[in-house]
Amino acid sequence: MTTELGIAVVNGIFVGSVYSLVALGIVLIYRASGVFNFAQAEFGTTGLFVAYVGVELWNWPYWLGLLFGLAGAVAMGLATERLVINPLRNASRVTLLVGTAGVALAAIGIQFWQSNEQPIRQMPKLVDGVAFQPFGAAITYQHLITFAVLIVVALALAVFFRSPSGLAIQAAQQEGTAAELVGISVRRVSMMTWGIAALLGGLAGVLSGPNLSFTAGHLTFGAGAALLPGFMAAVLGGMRSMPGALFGGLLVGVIEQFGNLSIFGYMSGGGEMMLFFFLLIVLLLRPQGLFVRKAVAA
Amino acid sequence: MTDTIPEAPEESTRELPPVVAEQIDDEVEDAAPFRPSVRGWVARGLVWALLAWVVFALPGNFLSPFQLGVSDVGHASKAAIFAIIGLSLNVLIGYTGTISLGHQAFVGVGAFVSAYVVVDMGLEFWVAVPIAAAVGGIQAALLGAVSLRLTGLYFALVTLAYGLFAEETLFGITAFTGGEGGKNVPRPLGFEDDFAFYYLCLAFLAAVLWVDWRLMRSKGGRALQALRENPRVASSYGINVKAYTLMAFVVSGIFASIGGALLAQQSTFIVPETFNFQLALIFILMTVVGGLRNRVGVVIGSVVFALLEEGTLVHLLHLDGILDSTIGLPAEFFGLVIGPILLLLTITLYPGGIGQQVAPIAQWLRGKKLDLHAGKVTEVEVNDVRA
Amino acid sequence: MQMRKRSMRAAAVLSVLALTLVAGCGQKPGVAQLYAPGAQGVAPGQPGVPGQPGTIPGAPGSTGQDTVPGASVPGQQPGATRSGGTAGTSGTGGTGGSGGTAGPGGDGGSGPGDTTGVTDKAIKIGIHAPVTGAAAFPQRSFENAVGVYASYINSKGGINGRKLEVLFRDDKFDPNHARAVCKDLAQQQKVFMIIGGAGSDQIDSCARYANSVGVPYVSAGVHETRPGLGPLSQLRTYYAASLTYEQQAPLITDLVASQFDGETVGLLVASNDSLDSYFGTQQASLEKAVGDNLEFADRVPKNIQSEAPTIAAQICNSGVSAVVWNAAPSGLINVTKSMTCSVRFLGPGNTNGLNIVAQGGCPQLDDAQFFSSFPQLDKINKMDPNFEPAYRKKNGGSNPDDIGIAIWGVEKLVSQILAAGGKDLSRESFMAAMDSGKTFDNGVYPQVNFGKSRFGGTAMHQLRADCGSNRFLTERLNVR
Repeated sequence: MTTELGIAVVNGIFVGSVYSLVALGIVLIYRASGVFNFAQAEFGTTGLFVAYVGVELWNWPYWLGLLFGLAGAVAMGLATERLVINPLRNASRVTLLVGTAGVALAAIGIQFWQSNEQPIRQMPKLVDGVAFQPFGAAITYQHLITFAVLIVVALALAVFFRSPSGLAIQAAQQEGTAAELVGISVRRVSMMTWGIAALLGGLAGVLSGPNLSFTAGHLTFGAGAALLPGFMAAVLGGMRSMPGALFGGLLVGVIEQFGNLSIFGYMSGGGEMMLFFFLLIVLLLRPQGLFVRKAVAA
Repeated sequence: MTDTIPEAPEESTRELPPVVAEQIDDEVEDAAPFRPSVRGWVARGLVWALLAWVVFALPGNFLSPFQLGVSDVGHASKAAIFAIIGLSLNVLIGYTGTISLGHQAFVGVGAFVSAYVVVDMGLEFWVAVPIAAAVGGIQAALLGAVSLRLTGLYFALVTLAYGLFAEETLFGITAFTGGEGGKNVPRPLGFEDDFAFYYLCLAFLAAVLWVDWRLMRSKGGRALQALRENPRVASSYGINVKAYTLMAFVVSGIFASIGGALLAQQSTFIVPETFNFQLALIFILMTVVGGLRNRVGVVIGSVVFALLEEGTLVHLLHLDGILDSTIGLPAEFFGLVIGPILLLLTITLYPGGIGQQVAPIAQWLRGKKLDLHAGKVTEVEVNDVRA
Repeated sequence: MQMRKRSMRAAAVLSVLALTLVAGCGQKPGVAQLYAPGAQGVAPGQPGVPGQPGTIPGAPGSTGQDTVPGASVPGQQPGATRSGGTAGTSGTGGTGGSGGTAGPGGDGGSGPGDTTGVTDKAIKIGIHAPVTGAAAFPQRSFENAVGVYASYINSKGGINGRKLEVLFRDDKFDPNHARAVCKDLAQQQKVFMIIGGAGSDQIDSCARYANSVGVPYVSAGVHETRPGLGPLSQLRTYYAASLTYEQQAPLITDLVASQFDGETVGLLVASNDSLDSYFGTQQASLEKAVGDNLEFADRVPKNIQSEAPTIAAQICNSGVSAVVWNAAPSGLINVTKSMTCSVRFLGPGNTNGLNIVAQGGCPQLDDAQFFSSFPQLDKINKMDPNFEPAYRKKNGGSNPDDIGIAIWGVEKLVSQILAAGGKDLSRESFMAAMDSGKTFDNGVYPQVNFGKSRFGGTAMHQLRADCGSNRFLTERLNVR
């Protein structure tokens, strides 16, 4: 049992670091546009598919393929902002939510269509091999790289938000009109936010993709589903806290793995059940999130 | 449905201000009273007849040059059921401004409860539908009671998690669902035949439309309209926001369960994996594309998406070859790719959805002037101030 | 104001109209009869059906069965196969659908039998397989594959002078949808018989439906029974053209015992309820052969996603040399990607398109051995030289794949049976040809003989994953 728990914790942390990346993007966009971005995970899948095209189909060097994938994700993020979010800037949040869900579905539809020749795909890992095996759980270099990227991204975001551009973003988020008055272009800020968020999503995609085989919608409801866990992580962080989203992701990963402990029992959907009740309890008891001290006015 | 009538006697409804769209028409009407000419009435009558023919006669192969087969009419039944589900979601998104991302669970619960009652308990379909509706309502009430204290977006998240939980955990209980092999659900006596069953679905759709329409004219309906516009103002007028939202939630759950029960009967066979997250997203697509708070629009939108999903629409319009040869889009993927793009176009360009697009025709059919700008809604978005 | 009243009145009138129509048309018994003409008469009257009480406990009156019926019936059907009582199920004008089954009894002289889908010039058959959906196979694979043998045989003059026409439907890897497309094939397209292309749940669902409307159904062997729905062998119209999972269990045990003598092995089977019976059979058989060396025997989730690392760790921690695997191929790929050790995977031929698995699972999947009803590309040209030219001819020169072989094989087998059905082909004579105990050898599948049971397979081909070429190779033919 200790072994099993150990495996769950170790796997949970590394699966959770992908959730954290997704959650960071969700929080970023929520702070900028006040929308639950259902396309966040799809930025990842799109990035993954684009990287796949570069690396596997066009035989580019791996790093170039990764950059290509990230560029694809960012392009999708910017297109979403221009074509959907901006026209709807005065619409209600629920309409925006439906809009982002529409973006995700459109992306998934196109992925299904374009990947039909070979529906199940896979990418080589950045670095092959297993670093170490606590409790027999395989910690691959890929896992370690993902985790390292997460830390670097989190630190970079923290630094960035203290830079002038970062401050501009924060200003525009808090009071758009006032920010415009002092010469901040809300339009540029919005695009920048969506670009950065899409980059985070893309990172989640290209880094987690090689761990499993993937199909269309991989990070949304496929094998690497990170959308709901990502949202939960963001909620744990109160939707506005970056460190909260980071730790929330890791926690959600571990909890989900605990749900899978019963996997060799005869009960199905253990992970989903754990997540549902966990979310419900957190939202009811601490709607402001686990990792924030007091509620921030929305 | 009976208990809503005493609440809303006809006299009182006539005097009350109705939905926004119609209010605009009233003004137009006052400015220039319009009566169609005899020819105008004949034209309208012909269009009405055509509509009635498409809905009632065509699927039954009456007075029809086409020979529809059983699976064609099966698609028609499915379209009617989707319309019921669309109306159910419309109650939630359109009337209360809360969004359910787990509607597949509501529909699924209705389907499995009905199937359980018919197959495992051996009762009649006519007993199963009320039971399924009741269970659906109770389920919605429970989920609503627990989570409606959360605001819009958080609530959406809970429904999302609930949908996945139901899909993986609840529908994974073999004793309830019959396992992934599914369950055969016999149709009610007299409606075994696909053609007869279509009319049964149509009757249910008519009933749901009627209830929905009466409900919106009732005190509760007016309260919902008020609280959607602004919950704070509404509650200051003494409207119990939570109770009415919960009521809408329960109504939505009941409609969805009825839709689910019919869905189980329609395919005469249900498997848990039908009720997946993608289905929930399709439900939202069809409702929003149809046009929130516009019954006609929601029904049309649902029908379009039901037919898109099966690829029937593409076949009917003979588009498969064209799409495949021009952009290499096979008919199988048509719904997957075109559906979401339609949604995006709708919410960015025509926030009123199909309902907005067909509004001029609908107005004309009701005996008014053909006004291309009818139903133009500047702000149809859901005002969820609480989010 | 007036206008509004009028519109309300119009709505009221409409709904009244709707109700009257419903009341009127709903009951009209002839509606479907009028418009569903032809020999089939499946939908309408269904006089014979109510005679199956007890299918739904306590609901004897639910004649809803007509379109669904047999599917839930199997428990009741065994004896009926020969009694003619089931004839009502197909409603085929009382030809005694079982005439063929009974063999010598013949048609009972009540006409030529059910000839739906057969004309003097052509035989129309249907085939369903997943193209879109969760475990999608490449769309082109099936589109290319379906009809290759038909066009080949048609160019040779057809079957007893009739051209073979094959309709293909995508079942979206969804049992519910599979049933819908089979209904379309059976009742609207009025095909003569249906072939199940791939996917055991889809095959199960469609087979039960086909039985309920009396349409012959041929597929590769899958599971034998499903809790709650009963054994497939009791379906009057179902024929499995290769060994079922249960029948393959001893072959797998032999393979394990001969290659891993004295080493530990494990068994992992998906938690699908249709695999309960296989799991029991395989576990018992392995325990008997290797005893305590069966380190673990477990069920795994249907869709292995976030569970993959845990399962991989379990396999590696247990130190087994081999794992008998019967679960979704994509799950196998996901598990192998998280494995730190190398074990040999073995299993029954669970699905077509193994090469997709090979591409995804290598290198961890190296040397994995799976059974299959059809050989791989390396052997097919020796076994059936007509395949590759025919495939290239139909598909503008594109390279054949293993799905192409699978479909070619089953179409060829069906064609042989159709030919054996004779000049006066009917569903009865078609099924009689199978029931007669005649052995069909199409040179692709191992020999098939339905004399003893509906599971007509006699052997399997054994495949081995070759990660050098990222595909499966044919290791042994006709393993019994």
